Amino acid sequence: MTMKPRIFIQMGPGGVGKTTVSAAFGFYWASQGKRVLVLTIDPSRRLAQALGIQGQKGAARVPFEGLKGELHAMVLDHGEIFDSFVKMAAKKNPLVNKLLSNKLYIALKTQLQGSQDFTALIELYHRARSGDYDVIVLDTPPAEHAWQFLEAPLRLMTLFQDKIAKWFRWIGDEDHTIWSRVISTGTRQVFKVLELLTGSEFIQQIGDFFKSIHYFQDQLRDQIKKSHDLLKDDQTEFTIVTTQDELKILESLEHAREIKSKGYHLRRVIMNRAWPEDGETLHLEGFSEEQGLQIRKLLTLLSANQKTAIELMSRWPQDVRVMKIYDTLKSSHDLEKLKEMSDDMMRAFE
Amino acid sequence: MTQQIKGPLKEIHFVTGKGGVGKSTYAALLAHEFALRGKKTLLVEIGERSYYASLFGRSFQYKPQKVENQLEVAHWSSQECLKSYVLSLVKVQALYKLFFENPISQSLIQVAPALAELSVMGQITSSPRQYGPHGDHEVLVVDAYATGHFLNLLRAPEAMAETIQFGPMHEQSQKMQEVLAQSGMCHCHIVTLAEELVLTESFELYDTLKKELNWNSRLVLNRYLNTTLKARDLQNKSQLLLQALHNKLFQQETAIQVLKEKDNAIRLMPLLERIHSYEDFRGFV
Repeated sequence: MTMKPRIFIQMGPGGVGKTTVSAAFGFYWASQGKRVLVLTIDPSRRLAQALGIQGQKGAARVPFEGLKGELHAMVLDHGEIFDSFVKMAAKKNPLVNKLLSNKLYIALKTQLQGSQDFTALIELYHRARSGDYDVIVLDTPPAEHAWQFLEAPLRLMTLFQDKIAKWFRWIGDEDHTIWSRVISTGTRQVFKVLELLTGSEFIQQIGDFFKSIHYFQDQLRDQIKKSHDLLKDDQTEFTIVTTQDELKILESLEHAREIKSKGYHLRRVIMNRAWPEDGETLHLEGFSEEQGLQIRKLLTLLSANQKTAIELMSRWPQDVRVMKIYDTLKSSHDLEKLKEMSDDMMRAFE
Repeated sequence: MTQQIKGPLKEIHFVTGKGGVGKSTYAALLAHEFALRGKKTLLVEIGERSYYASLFGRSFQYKPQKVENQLEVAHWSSQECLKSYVLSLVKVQALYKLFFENPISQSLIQVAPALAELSVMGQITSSPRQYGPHGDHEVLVVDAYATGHFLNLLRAPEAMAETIQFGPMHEQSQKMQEVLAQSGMCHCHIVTLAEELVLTESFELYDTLKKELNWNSRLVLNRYLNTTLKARDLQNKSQLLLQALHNKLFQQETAIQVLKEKDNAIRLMPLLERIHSYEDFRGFV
């Protein structure tokens, strides 16, 4: 049996630089001599280029000289992961092709709320079992609520619940007469409204979808459950990434509460683009009087903007560690920037 | 294709941008400006959460409420829009109740991917299509979803028209597409910040909207620092605060330069000490 890797799940609101922080976090562990994989959702083109994973399928090693360990990165291709997941669950059942070309299935795998969260989790599960890595960092899709990610597998499972699936399978059946007797008049009326709303062709697609998925629903359920269990594992730690912005902190506090109350292990908060604490006297030698005035005006304005944010920061749960990455990074080279961020983290870890 | 505009609605303004850039605040400002110019304006927030409840200090529903002369605000959740759409289709109150209280149709709404977006789009375009309930506003300002979800909203009519080849749903989906393409009707404002990731996303959205709908979006740089200082004045300083300020100004200068290459008439929205209520806001205009 292989050693279980340490898993870090990075959550947080959108627009806080979660992907970059996740990469820097992976960088930190690689600099500590670990074999690291960063699973990312949607890196900016520049970051993907810097990591050497642009347009790559699967995991690629990041070319950075002088790292003690190894840093690998991978962009999650949701459609692809979903397909191979279904194929695996179907175990060569020929019906799987019908499912893969079903219009509803195609829409479902890419557009349904939670399907990205779900595929991220599936990939994490398989990579964790591969034994290739000591540390895996998962960058989650931005979400308004933490439960959208945490409950994605369970929400998807309700789709396969027998009561609902059975009802939809009825549509796919050519012989409606048997079912017509079983379902109530009320349900039939509902069906009519649905048909009016979405057209009969779409309804037919739904019926086909549930008919073909029926045959491997048990395997699907089993897989979904296993990957969900991984989230609660002792080796799995949650990190919240946020910025020093009032709304983002409020959102993150809510995330923290949700993660903790559901029994997941929330260990740290990374405050990205943190504004330096003021308090020390400004050294304004060498500036003209006008420049000095402008500097003070801007700093007052900027720190007034941070005021509520700083007050809010005292509300993090007691046992959660807060790490700051300052908004003063000097490098313009992306990999160097990751190193600078990782150095900030190192200071916080020590 | 030029089409005669029916109904009172002349302009639809979508406000979008990456999460947390301040689109709702800007949308409210835009709506306020239209109202000041004497246009009967409706400011709408879509989605499940209401930001305007805290900005205006009261809750909003589906039905528009007056907040000042010429300005009304409404909150359209997709659930609400779908209800109104279904009701206009089936016309029988009892049947529509039966539909919505049924757990099966509830789960279908979750599964049918474009249905929620389509009904919101239907509500937004109901006046020019002369279909379904609509008010008598001249300008509609939509505080829309963040980038990716926003594109799903705009693409919903096309997706639906393709999925369903005939029937009332198909027809109306096509009409929605026509409204979106109608020249002079739809305008898009992309709110952005002087941060690399946010800018990149804004540019990608700008290009996608240009390509798919031939829209020339307006770019709005929020949290602009209004100063005569230049980043180079603050170069090579050892104090952390001055370094941080240098970074901010440098990012801002770079951002304005690249933004102007796309949209020469970019709008700069200064960073304010606070916008917590609508009063702060009116003081600003």
